[in-house]
Amino acid sequence: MTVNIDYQKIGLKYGVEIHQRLATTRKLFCACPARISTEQPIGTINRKLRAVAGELGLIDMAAAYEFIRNRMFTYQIFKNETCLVDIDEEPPHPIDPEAVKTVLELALLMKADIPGEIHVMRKTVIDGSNTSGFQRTAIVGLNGVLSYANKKVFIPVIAVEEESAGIVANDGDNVTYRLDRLGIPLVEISTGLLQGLTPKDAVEIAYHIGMLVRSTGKVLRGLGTIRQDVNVSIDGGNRVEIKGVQTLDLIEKAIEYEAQRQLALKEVKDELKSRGCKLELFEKPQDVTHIFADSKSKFIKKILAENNKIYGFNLAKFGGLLKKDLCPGKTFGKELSEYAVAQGVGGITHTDEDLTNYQMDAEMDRVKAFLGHELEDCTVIVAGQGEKVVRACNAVLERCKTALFEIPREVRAANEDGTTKFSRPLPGSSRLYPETDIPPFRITKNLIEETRKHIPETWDKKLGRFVKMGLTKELSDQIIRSEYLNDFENIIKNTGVSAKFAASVLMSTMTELRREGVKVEKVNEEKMLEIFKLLEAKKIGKEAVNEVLKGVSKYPMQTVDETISKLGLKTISKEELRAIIRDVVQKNINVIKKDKKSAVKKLMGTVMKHVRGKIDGKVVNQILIEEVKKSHAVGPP
Amino acid sequence: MYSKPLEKMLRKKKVEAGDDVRITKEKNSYAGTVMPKSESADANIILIKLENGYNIGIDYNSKVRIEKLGTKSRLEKFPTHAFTFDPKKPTIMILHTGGTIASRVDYKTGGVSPAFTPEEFIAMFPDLTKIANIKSRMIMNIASEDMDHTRYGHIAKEIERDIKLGLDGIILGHGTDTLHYSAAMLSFMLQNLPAPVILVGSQRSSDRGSSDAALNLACAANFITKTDFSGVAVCMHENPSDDGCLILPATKIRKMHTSRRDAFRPVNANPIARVGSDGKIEMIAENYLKKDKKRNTIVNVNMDPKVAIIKMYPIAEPTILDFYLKNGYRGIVIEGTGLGHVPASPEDPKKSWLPSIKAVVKAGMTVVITSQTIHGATNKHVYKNLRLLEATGVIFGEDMTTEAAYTKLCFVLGNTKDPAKIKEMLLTNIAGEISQRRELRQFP
Repeated sequence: MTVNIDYQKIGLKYGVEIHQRLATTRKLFCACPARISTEQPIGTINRKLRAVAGELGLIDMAAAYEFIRNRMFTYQIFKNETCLVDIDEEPPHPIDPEAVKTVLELALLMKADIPGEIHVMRKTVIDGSNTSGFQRTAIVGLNGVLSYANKKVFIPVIAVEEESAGIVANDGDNVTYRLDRLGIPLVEISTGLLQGLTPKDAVEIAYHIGMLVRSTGKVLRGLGTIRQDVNVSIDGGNRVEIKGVQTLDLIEKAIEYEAQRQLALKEVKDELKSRGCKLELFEKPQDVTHIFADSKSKFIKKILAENNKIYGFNLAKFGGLLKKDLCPGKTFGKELSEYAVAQGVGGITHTDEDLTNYQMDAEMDRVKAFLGHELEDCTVIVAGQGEKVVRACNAVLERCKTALFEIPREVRAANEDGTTKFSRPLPGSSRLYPETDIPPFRITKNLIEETRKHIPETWDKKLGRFVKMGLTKELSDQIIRSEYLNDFENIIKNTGVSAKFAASVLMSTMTELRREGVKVEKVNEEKMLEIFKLLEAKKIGKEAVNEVLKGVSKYPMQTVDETISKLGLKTISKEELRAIIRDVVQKNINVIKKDKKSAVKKLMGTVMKHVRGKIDGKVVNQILIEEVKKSHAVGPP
Repeated sequence: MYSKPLEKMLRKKKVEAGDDVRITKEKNSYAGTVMPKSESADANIILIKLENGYNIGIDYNSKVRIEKLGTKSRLEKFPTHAFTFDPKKPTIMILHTGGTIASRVDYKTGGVSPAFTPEEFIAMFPDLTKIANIKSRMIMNIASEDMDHTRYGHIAKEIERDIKLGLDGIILGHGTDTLHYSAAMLSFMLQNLPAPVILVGSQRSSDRGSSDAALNLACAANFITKTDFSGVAVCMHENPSDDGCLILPATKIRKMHTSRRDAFRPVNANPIARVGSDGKIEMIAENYLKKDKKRNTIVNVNMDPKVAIIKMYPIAEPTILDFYLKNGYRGIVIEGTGLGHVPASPEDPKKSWLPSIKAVVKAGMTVVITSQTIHGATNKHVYKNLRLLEATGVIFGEDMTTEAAYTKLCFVLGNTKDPAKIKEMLLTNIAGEISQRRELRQFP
């Protein structure tokens, strides 16, 4: 198996697609709040979806495939986040202008072309993730450019879309979805097909798209609010779309593994060709249940007890190929199995694997004889409920037929280790047709001009600005990504406190306090700014910040001023300090006499007990030295 | 319509919907297929479908260049389905009248409109052929709000023509808006039917993956083939789930929601049966006409279209009736408030409807009272004002829905001019439109 790949040589091409949920008030096509419910569902409904012809009269292959699977979908209804539009019982409302404007902002940021009218399209998806049988989507910008660090990446499409329903459970025949998520606006940003880049470059591109999207300040944060897809192909391979890559770093691995997979599948194709494999050699699956009547295998016994069937077929000239590794941890046989699983069976068993553990060697030999297995062949069996077994066998057979000619164009789901599994054939453009229930959205010159005025500073620029203020690049990046970005900008703009100090309080102190269990989220932007204003005016000391934040978190109903007064954290004047120090010096005059040199050190602690957080320690130290000296000068009476 | 400059340019370049074009605007150029102009789009926008499948509208101005790349008639092609006849299976005729159930996207109007040929229709619901031999014929293609009196007669005659052939049943595809009017009208026009006639509509057009048409049709077909029911009924979703449908009595239903799948509800009645998505049938009705292929239908397509419905409201003026009298109306259904009231103020005779109603009845008009509460029966005894209304010569329509009373009045007036006979026919139960008992479970 190839591990060190020359990506230029194999002609690696990929595209990156980012989906980010927008923080709008309402959903894209109804008046429900755009949020995930924190409550339990109040009920469910069941639906089936069908494949239908698009406007050009063609039934999309991906849709037809789903239809064959014949699954029932259960949808969870939430009290506040689900309405009749979400369950496809009411026509959609006109598109949410707030969402369109946010995406328009992004499109303008990428210097994209803006159409005169936005037309909402229906993208056929009958995997149940949309109750209507389609996802609504509209292009807001075309031919944009993502610029960062002197690099430019072409962004052909910037679209606004509705979020799909979230999957809750999948037991094969019945899939359960939650409908609170359905309809939350998303921005979709996709790069064109990029060539001459390494898989690692994709991580950087995805990172910068993410940064850009967040610069609007109008996106949701948290788990699942951003999703990354990549589509990958190599020379002689085919476009494969990998959906739902969980983390940025995983993008690199997903592309690497997919390149390896396509290379290995090309080898499979070449090998089959050299062995003389051809379409005429394929046979129909046959019922071989009778051969297993007396099986000792627990697995088989269970199958037969449930009155299920076992079908088998012979893959002529495929012998040994199912053992072949496609990418780490994944053989061709395992991949074929996924096509069977998608039809609702447990998987496949074949003669390229070690069958001793299954206790079915003897039966497999009889199946091989029954099907006319020859030396170069591989025999496959599939067990399960009658109709599904036939569908599963046919799915595997079709996949094997394709293996003679090409790598199938398909959608694959990303696993957590960077490998992928088959999810459905790649949909074509025939799955898009107009959403006639929604009027077009006119983009006037005025709207563009108005939006242009409010275009946010990009995060790249922001980063540069923070670095100029004396922060490290890492710290700047950390602030930009943190929830305290607005606080930081407020503090810098409205006080003279140093950027470094503000950053350290927001990034380190707040984190520490949170770890201690302090409810720091009670410190809102207003109070945070107030604290820094008091710091600037030296009404509280830097040392007291910790205590002040704790206090403000503890008493959210009080003003910052009330809290610091209550906790006695207000600073004292030098005169007040001097009085306290004199008192301490007086009481400890013997100590000073005894140990002239280290007296200051010793007394510092005592003084600090009284004034900690109320005045700068340096000042305390300085006045203490002065007072100790004075006490010598005056001498004992 | 496109703006003049855009239309001129398109004509000059001989560009029509379906053609491939390249449009160059400033530095950008877009290749795609020209889509038909939609009504709701701006006149100066040319709509194209890009290669990625998306439609975008491009603002036209004198600097925009349009270049024709090729002619393609890619629009309007649908798969069709060839019929195979299995003599062992029952046979169902599907008659199409138009409506959402036979609809798909129409690019000319930008909305959904009827467009399927019957062959295309069957191709969309191949599962139906597992239940029965499916024949299919389009007898008209209209939106149900455009139904009129000649069409009711036409549909009834077409049904009779087909049912005589010894079919196991007929499914009548119908728009949902006025489906309950048609169901009632056909119940009066087609009595003594040898086999069932099931009206089926859909609330989501058949070009959508989530259309309710498939289940509604399958349930109707299963009900026809698996039960001994005969007569007119309606088959629609029981609830928002695709779990099954209700078979509803044709004269005692109403469309109760603008958009839900389960918009049709029985009024003062129980459903006839419940049909599961698995084809299982639970018969609810106990007394119904049984299937008998040898029986002959009694067809009577006489009806009088000069009938109107007037709804009562607190400040409704009785002069409204003058219009109907002047325009030759022979029947009026007054949808009264509560038990069947009309404004009858004794203090202000000008506001009272009683004198006007008395006058139109005397002039030969038949006035039937129903209630706008929808559920429950009218009553002519409980309040004084009801008794005064009764005395004007109106006929209280028992517990008929307004729609059933309206269609029945059209039917009765089409068949007799004799006031006594009119009253007798109106108060005689012809097709289940009047019931004597109302059960607790029937509401809400």
